[in-house]
Amino acid sequence: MTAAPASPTRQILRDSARLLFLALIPAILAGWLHPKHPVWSWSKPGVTEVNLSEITRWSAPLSWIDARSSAAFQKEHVPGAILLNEDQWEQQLPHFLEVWQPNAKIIVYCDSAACDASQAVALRLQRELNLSSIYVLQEGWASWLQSNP
Amino acid sequence: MAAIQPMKTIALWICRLLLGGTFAYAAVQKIAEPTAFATDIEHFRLLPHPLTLALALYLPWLELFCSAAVLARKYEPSALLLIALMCGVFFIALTSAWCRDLDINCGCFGHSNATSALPWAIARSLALGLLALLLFKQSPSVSSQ
Amino acid sequence: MPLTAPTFFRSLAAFILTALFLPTFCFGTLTWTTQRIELTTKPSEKVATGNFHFVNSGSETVTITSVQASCGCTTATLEKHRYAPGEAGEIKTVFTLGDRVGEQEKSISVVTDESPTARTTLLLHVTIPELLLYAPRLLIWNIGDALGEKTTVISANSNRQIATITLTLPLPKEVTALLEPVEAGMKYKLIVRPVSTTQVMNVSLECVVTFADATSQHCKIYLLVR
Repeated sequence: MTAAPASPTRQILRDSARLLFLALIPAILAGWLHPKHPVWSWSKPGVTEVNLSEITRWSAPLSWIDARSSAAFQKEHVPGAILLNEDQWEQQLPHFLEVWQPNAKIIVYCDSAACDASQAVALRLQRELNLSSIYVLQEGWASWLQSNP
Repeated sequence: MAAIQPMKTIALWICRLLLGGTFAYAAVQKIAEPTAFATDIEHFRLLPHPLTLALALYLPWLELFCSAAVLARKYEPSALLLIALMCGVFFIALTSAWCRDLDINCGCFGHSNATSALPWAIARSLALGLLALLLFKQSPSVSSQ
Repeated sequence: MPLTAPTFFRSLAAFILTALFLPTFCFGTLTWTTQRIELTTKPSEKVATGNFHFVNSGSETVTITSVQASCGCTTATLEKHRYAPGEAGEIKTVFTLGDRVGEQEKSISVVTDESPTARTTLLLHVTIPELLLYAPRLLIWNIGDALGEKTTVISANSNRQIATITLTLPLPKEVTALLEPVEAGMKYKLIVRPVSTTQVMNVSLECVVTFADATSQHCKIYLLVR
C-alpha cells in the first residue's frame, strides 16, 4: 500500500520550506567567513539619529551644529547653530567649545539623508572630546526646511 | 494549431530565462558585497539593525537559490511563489521610500550599480512579481489543478 | 493544447511585462577601468586626486550629463561631455583633505543621456594617516570641583618615533601643566591642573611634537571649567 501523494499545495509549501532552509546554510557561512561580512551589532553603529518631532519634545537645552560647507552656512542655517565641519575643524572647534554647555544635547546636521558629514562630525566629537548626548538630525537641513518653509 | 504549443513553450522559456537571469545577476552582485547591501537596506529605515544585517546576508542567497530553481525547473512553483513574495516586499519597501522622499539607492543590483531611480525600481519589482505569478500559474502542477 | 484567448493574452502579457524591465539589461555603455580608487596620503599633502578612466564601448555617442560628488570637499571634472564610440575619457577627482584624518570615502555620481534616471557611483577611498594620537582633547572641571589633575595621553601612531615634545609657551595662567614620558619616544602624559574652579574657564594648551624623520605636528588640548 503506497502513501497518497501530497496535494500540490502541500508540495509547494514543502518545497518552499526546503528552498528557505537551503538558502540559510550559505547565508550563515557568509556571515562568518565572507571577507566583507557585516560586523554584527545590536544597534546601528554611529551616532543615534533623531527627527525634528522628537527634538521638539526635549526639555534640555540644545546645541545645534551645522556640518555643511561655510558657503551653505552663510546662506542659511538653523538659528543659533555653530558651523563645525571637517574642512576647518581646528579653526572652528574653539568657537563651538566657547558656547557649549555640558547639560546641552548636541544635534549635528548636514544637507540631507545622503550626506554623511553630520555622522563624521558627530563621531569625531565623541572620539576626540569624549562628549556624550550627541545626535544627528535625520534628513538634515532638508527636514528643517520642510518644517520651517 | 500544432505550431502554437512550441511558441508558447518558447515564450515561457524566455520568461523563465529573464526572471531567473535577472534574479541570479542581482543575487551575485549582493553576495559579493554584503556590507554594502546592508547599508542600502539600512537607508530604507524600515527594519531594526540586527534584522537588516541578517537580511543582507540571507536575501541574496534566497534569490540565487530561487533563480536556480526556476532555471533548472526543480521546485519551480515554490521558487516562483517565493520570488513573487520577494517582489511584493521590494515593491512595498520601495514605494514606502518614495512616499517618504528618501534619497537612496535601490540596492537591487548591488551598491555601486546604476539603479537609483525609485519609480523605475518600483515598476520593475511589480513587473517581475507579476511575471513570477504568471509563470507560477503556467506551472504544470498548478495549471493542472 | 488549443490556443485559447486566455492563453494567448497571458503570453502577450508576459511579453509586455518582460519588456518593461528589459532596460535593466541596457547598462550604460561606458566601461570603467575601475569604479573604486584607494589612496593613502602623505602627511604634507593637502589634496588627494584620483582619475577614473572610461571608454565608450557602445555604438552610439554618449553624453555625460551630470557628475556630482557627495561632498563639497571633492570636485569632479571632465574635459568634455560627449564621447564617440570607442573614445576614452576620464573623470578627475580632487578631494581637499582639510582637517580630516583616518578613513574617508567620497562618492561621485555620474549620469549619462542614455539612461537619465540611472547613475553610476564611483568611489574614492582615502586613508589619511594620523601621525599623533592624543586623547582626551577636552578636559573639563565643574565649578566648585576640587583642584584635581587630569591627564591627556599623547602617543605616536604606527612606527614613528617622537624626537621632541614641548609645550608652547607661554602657558595660560589659569592652569599648571607638566609633560611626563610614559615610554620615551612613543608615549607621553600631559598632566593639567586648574589654578581655580570658582569661575568659568576656557583655555587651551598647545604642544609641538617633532618626529625622528624631522616632520612635526601640533596638538591642541582644550581646558574648560563649566
